[in-house]
Amino acid sequence: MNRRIAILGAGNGGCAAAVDLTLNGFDVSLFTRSEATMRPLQERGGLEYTGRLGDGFVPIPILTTDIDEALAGADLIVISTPTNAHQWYAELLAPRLRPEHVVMLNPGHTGGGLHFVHSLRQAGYSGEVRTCETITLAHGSRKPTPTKVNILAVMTNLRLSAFPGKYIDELAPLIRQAFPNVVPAANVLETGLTNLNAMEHPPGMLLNTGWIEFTKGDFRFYYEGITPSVARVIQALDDERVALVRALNRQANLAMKEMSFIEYFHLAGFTSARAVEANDMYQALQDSEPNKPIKAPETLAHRYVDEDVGYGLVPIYELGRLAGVDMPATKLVIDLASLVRGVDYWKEGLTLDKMGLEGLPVSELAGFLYEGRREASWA
Amino acid sequence: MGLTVAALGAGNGGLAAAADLTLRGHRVRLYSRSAATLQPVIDRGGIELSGAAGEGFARPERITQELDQAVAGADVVMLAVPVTAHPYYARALAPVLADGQPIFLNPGHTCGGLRVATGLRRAGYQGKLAICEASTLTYGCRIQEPGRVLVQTVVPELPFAAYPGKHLAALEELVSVLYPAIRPADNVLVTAFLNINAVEHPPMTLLNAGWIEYTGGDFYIYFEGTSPAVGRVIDAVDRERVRLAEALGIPTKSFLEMFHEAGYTTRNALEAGTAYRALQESAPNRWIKSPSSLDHRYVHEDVGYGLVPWSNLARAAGVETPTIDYLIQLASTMNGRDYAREGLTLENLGLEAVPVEALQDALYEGVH
Repeated sequence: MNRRIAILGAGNGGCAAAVDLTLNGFDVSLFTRSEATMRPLQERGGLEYTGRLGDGFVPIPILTTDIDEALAGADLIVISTPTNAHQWYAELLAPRLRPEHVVMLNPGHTGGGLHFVHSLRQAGYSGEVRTCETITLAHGSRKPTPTKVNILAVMTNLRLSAFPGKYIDELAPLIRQAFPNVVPAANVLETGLTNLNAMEHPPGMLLNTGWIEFTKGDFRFYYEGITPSVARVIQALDDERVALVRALNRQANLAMKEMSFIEYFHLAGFTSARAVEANDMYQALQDSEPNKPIKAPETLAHRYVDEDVGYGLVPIYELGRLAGVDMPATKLVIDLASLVRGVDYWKEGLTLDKMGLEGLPVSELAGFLYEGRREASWA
Repeated sequence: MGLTVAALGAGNGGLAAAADLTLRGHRVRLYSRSAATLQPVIDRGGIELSGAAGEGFARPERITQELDQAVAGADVVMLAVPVTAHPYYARALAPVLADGQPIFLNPGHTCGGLRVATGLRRAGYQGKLAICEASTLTYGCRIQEPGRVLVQTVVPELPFAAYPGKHLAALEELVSVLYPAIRPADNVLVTAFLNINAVEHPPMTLLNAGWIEYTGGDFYIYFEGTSPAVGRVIDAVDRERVRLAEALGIPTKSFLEMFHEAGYTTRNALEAGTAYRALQESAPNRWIKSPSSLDHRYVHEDVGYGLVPWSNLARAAGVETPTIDYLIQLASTMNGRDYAREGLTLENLGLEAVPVEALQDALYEGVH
């Protein structure tokens, strides 16, 4: 792989990746559409960092708001933006993308790659496309200042899926050069349907609406805010998600893992074995040491709602529609979020249409995920 | 001339009513199904009343755990119990209630009278129905210690309805002897749509579930808990309630209008038009603490006996009430219950076979 990697997005995730890749000997170009975000970086000439990768400064050779400058010489394009910006980036890249490019969505959340590719096609790109994605960011990080990133965690066992899925064997080794911790998954639903944030964040936010707004989030979100009745709603969402995974496995022959939130949570080192044994959602969140100190957001206008409903629960519900799975709890949380935030997530969120799946017979889903095109257009 | 009143229920409302009516010269038989509740009153030989309804020691004519002892020969049987207890009382009353003996629900909340009528019929009561109800309790009151009750307010005006509606005049004449503050409404649906508790309590408890459960309700639920976004949910519930009432041809008012008229908020808040402002500027509610858990009438009663009947009527009328519907579902998930089934359904109201356009006539003539 070419040593030049283009990172699009200079928020927490993009800056953390820029530092990590530079330290690994890659030659990074960092792009953001925001002049205000870029200017201090250009003045500093790079990024200061602290945390898990040590303390120091890395110069970044290309710091730009010019997309062509950012893409020049790069084969790998890493998009590290909120998911609601994916369409904008697809439109920006459509006239510039070449078949040798690989696009990595860091992260893709639920259906990010499907949405990105569909948006590329809508914007007129007709060439071959290779995307891959993770369910969550490769780094846990925060930017304390505009030119400094605090890298709190480097994710391990981060599952990577490709769209079209047929490229995973090719892409996984390639991406591993840059992100050594990724492990391959069969397709984008196998990663996308393990969206734990979409299970825990919206109920945690909505059922603490008054507390968040009155105290500006002055409580511990997971440890104090997720009480037994809130956990019951999380459990209801997760039961529906698992039912969807089962239905898709059966109907589309997908062989995805049918694991619960609590099991994934434990596997990721976020909760205790006794919570798994008890299969108790409340216990699982009480016993989450890494999450225990985390404060609630100051307002409901936050990605815990906007992203985890619009790009988490909505595509999950929509996939349920495709598979004919009844998801009343998921629907109710989307409805409530829409009312509380004054945003119509049914429209703003990731629908089957935006994922390019509207009208696809579920029997053709596996083929679509693998080939990246509907059967009728297979060569 | 005093009436003979069977006062069923010895909670806040029941004790206040038994004491107040006794002191005003009526012959009261106080009944409770709970020996533990009744014993302190028996030990004292009566009830000590203080506050806005007057002061004194009231000695009811009878204090009993035998329902027939309380009911036999009473001019009116008054139920001052949580609405969730109405099905129980209907079953218990069926064998002891005389033909056409008047029942007064204090309060009836949303369609309590229809629920009691259904319960009586299901339990085999074949007599004439003469049921009436006040929309809320006639007193704001609290038991301070066993056998001692403080009345903070006597409600000045109280919507009052009868079922079947054709008995309204006779029942109003009877009950106004006890409570001159009652104001007759056409039928029990009119009062049912005045239930502002069901508009405000479910959103403010469900959307503060974490705060309530983590702190045991240690915050002011109106002033602190009802934030702008919680207020938006209350506004949405109220819009659906008003739209439904209009579709059913039932006169009603907005939550804000009722809240303002009852003296609970400012004119500025009324004009601002949001529940958030109305509750921010509600002096009487300012210092009301949150319930300590979701196992509380703000959910059980206001969802099961408030939102559920509205949702059922909406479905019958072909009106959409999405917010009301998902709050019912949310409450059910959070409390591990099925309010849509255990609450006041059309079946429990006895209205499942009545076409919407025939509803008003049915409520006048009676269908039970």
